[in-house]
This record gives sequence, structure tokens and C-alpha cells, in this order.
Amino acid sequence: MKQLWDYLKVSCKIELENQLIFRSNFFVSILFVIIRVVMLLALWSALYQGKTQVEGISLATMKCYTIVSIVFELFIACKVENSITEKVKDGSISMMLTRPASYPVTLFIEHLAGTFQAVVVWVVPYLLVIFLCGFAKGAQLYLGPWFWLSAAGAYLLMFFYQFFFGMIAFWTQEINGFLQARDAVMLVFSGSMVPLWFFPGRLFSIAQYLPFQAMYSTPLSIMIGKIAGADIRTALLVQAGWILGFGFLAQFCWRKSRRRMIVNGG
Amino acid sequence: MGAKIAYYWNLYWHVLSMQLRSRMSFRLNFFVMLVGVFLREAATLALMVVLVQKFDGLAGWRTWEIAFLYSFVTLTFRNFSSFVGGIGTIPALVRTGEMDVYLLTPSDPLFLINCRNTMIWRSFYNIGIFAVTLYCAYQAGIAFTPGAVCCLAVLILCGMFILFAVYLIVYAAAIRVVEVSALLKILDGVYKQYMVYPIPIYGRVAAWIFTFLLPLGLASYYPSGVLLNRVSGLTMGWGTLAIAAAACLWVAAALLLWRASIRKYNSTGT
Repeated sequence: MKQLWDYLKVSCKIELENQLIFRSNFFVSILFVIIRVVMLLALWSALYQGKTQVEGISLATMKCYTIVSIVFELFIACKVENSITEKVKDGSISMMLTRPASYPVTLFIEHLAGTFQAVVVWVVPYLLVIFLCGFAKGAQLYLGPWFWLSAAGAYLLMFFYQFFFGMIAFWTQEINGFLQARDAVMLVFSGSMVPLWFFPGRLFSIAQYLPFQAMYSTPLSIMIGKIAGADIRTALLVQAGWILGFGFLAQFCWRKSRRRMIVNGG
Repeated sequence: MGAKIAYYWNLYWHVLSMQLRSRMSFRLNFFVMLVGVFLREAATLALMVVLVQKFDGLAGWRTWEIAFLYSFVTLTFRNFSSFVGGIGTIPALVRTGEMDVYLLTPSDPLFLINCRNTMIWRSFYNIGIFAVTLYCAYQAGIAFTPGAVCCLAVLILCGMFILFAVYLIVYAAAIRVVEVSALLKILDGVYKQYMVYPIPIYGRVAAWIFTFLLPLGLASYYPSGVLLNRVSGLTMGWGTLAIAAAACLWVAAALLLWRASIRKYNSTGT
């Protein structure tokens, strides 16, 4: 356990140093944060012009949803599938298998380190901009334990989900095409870009049967109060179901793919 | 001059065929990628249509007009990345010192970098995006007269060259500051996510910036607005001419800056 903890500390340090090595680049990143927030707010203000509420959501709440969805996207962002593909392509996956720690555990630690870097470099400046400039003023937000639970669930689900897709690389070596196709579906049905309640009836129903809503829409809807009361428990149970499902699937594919592994030149 | 053009033309196709062969070594991925990228763009467009319809338009623009603006921006960006997007590797070449190799060859380094890394195979799905753009133009009420078709073709080309100029300026800066990934992220993000809406919604200052300082509006809002007759004071013909002139100026400025930066290039020394 201590070794894993040490590995996590070293990974966090490396991730942070990699990000901060070019300082000017880091400050331009902060500028991007401000530009993105300002432009999104302008967009929603233009859309809400002459309207106080749409689908029961006020402009202030919608602005908050949009900004928090960006922060959330940064928080649960995962590079696991790329990391697996690169290692499969260059053969370094064989080295990972000879390590004393299991590869999925190592990957999860690296994922945690990536999140630590994202929180320090991106999430904190974002939140500072949001609160210092008063962008969240007037929004009714719920930031209680259910929200944090669903956020943690979304984080875990994203890891298992990406780990599962990363396994495809053992069969095809290159998975960019699959990722593009998958991201297209995810973009629509996750609710990260356009909240699901703005969808027409049938599309909304389809979204309920897919795992993507459990990644973004569930925690964000709990936060702005669109999911409340007994519905929170149902939403969390559905999310837990997806986590377990993808957890088992990822484990199963990992076992299968290890037997398929071919290392170039090895 | 003729011999030089023939030399570059042959070189371009030679390098391109090599690149296509390398792509085809992952055949399944290649075809899934083509479908995937088209699906992604179609999904984003569909989402935008849903959103704008829910709000009964945006800043006076109707749903299909916004859809046309979106598809125009997407087509311009995809054309840019298909035909001249190879220059996107410049920052990496500068960082690794590989730029030295290109500067030592007898051919033009910019041309070589572009065709070595260009992704012309992406133009397969540009065909689909072009079809969607035409459909959105039809739905938005653009009459397909010979003049309008010519203007559309010229404006798509102008958009591509304006993007080329803007990105080349950033890549030229990479020669001095080495790391420009955050700046590129801003460019990509602002163009693909925010130029798909009419720029006046961002306020006067932003509209001025996107017209004169960072001319992304000239590759998105203005060409679409000119075709839809949404830019006051600019007819389709004059608007197209003005945008074409601006594109020429920006490309000339970017090439001058690129040459000046190349003269100041210091290798990484590894």
C-alpha cells in the first residue's frame, strides 16, 4: 500500500512539473479559461434574450450548469485509453506486465495523478474566475453529499469505461477511429454540451438507457436541482449499476486481452 | 517556374501516396475513423439544431441559418486540416530539433512540412460535410444561382486560407517561444466552439477582435452572413471581394512573418 502511495506522489509531481515547465503556456491556459467562460455566458445570455425560464431553468442556473459542466469535464477527463494504445503500439506494455503492481491499478494511480494536475492547474483557476467574477450569482445550487457521491461515481465510471475501450487496442493496435465514433454518441447523450431536458421526448428516452448520462448529466442535474428527492436515489442506483457493469466488463476484457498480446520485436 | 511547379506537384502526390499507404496499415481503424468523424460533426450539428429550435433562434438568426453557419465553419476547418493542416507539426519539430532537417533540404521547408504531415485522406469525409453544408444552405433560403455558387466556393477557399494564415502566425511564434500548445488550444476552441454562432452576440469588442485582430470571424460569421444577407452594408458580391482581399493580405503577412522567424531559428542544440 505504501508503495502505491509513493507511486501516486511521484506521479502527481511529474504530472504537475510537466504542466508547469513552460510558464507562458500555463498563463495562456488561464487566459483560455477566462475567454471560454465569457463567451459561453454571452452565448447563453443571447439564447435567453426575452425569456426568464426555459424548461423550468433560469438563465443564472443555466450559466452555472454550463460552467460547472466544463469544470466537471476537466475533473473526470481521462487519458487511460491513449496510454494503453501507446504502450500496445510501442511494445512497452510488456514492461508494465512485469511490474509487481497490477497494470490496471498502476493506470488508476496515473489517472488520479492526472486529476490532481487538472484540479491544480485548471479546476481551481476556473472556480476562482467563476466566483470572483460573480458568474454563479443568483443560481440555486445543491453541493451536498449526494452531488459529491455522484461526482465520484462519474469519475469511476469514466475510468472503467475508458479502460474497456483501451482494451480494443490489443486487437486493432490503433483505436482512434473507434474513439471518434464513440465520442460522437457520447457528445449527444452525455448532456455535457446540451442538457438532456432540452431534448425532444424520444431522444431523451434513449439517453436514459445509455451509460453517458451517468457520467455528466446525473451529477450536474443533482447540482442544479433538476434531480431531487427520491429521484436522486434512483439516479445513483442507475449510476452504480453502470459502474459495476463496466467494472466487470473491463476486468473480463483485460484477462482476455493479455492472452492476445503480441510484442513487436520481443 | 513551370518546372518548379511540376517538381512540387509530383513531390506532393508522391509524399501523399506514401502517407495513405501508412494509414492503410490500420485499415479497420481508417474506415471507422472516417465514419466516426462524420458522425461526430453530424451529432454536434443535430445538438445545435435542437438547442436553437428550443430557444426559437439566436440573435435574430433562424435555426437553419445557424446550422449553415455551423456547417460552413466545420467545412472550412476540415478543409484547412486536410490540405494545409500538416503545418500543425511545426511546434513539435521545433521542440525536438527535427526542424533542422527540413531547413537543410533544397525544397521549401513549409511545403515539405505540410505535405509530409498533411491529412488529405480526411477530405473523404469533407465530402459528407460539404453535402450537409449545401443542405443547410438550401434550408436557410440561399438561392443556388451561379453567382451564389461561385461566392460560396470562393468564401470556403478564403476561410481555409485565413485559417492557414492565423495558424501559421502562431507556428512562426513557436520558433521563438517553443511551446504554443495553449495558444493553439485557444484558437481551436474559439473557432470550432464559438465561431459557430454570430459574433455580435459576444459584444462589440469581441466582434472587433474577431474581425481585425484575430480574423476568425472572416472565416465564419462574415462569409455565412454575406451569403445569407445578414451583414448590413455588404452585398454578396462586394462582401466576397472584401473577404478575398482580406484573406490575401493575411496570407501575405503570415508568410512574411514565417520567413522572418525562420531566419531567427535556433536549433535545440541536441
